[in-house]
Amino acid sequence: MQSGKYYVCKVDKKGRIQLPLVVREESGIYGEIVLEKIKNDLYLKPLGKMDRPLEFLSSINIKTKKSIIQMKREAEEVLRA
Amino acid sequence: MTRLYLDTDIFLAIIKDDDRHKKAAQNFFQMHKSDELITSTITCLEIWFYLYKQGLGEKALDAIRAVGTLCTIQEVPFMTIQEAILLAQEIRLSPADGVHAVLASSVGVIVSSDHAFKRITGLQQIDFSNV
Repeated sequence: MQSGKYYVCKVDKKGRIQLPLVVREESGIYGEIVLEKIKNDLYLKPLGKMDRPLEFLSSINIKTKKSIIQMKREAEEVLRA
Repeated sequence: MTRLYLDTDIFLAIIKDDDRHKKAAQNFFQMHKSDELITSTITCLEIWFYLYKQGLGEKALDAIRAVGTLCTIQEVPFMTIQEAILLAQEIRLSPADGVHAVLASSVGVIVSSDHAFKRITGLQQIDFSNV
């Protein structure tokens, strides 16, 4: 079993943590991250850059015969369910 | 630079597999790269709700991040919701369309293929599906 890598970081008075450059580079942490708290453990997850937003949205490819206006109405129905 | 408010349907056209307006919706973003494109948190909610309903909730975070990369996301203030309720009652809009209509009215132009917005006085509409 491989061990994890550990880094000790200081939290300043304003609650800021400076992540080591090597961690940011290896984990692709730029801009926004998700901080997940499980009991007393904290996990940082990179959100990654959204470089090609149109391509991403196009790749979702929902299969439906409904029109986009019907899709809009359907989205609102979630609140009524 | 022109300011344009985008309704949710343009994003749904792109998300959908084979929508007849998909190409037009994609072209719209290419054509308006230099304009200020604005949408709102209600659009993000509608996209999330639709993906959730389709069992694709895990795509929602990246989907709204993509929307946030393409547009400025406007928050929906309490005052706007009150105005939307009044407008939606008056001209029979759905709640979400009421919010879109109020936010778009402050911009002056709504980009949508939904004819419901034609009933709003003083709001210019650009139908991306006809461009």
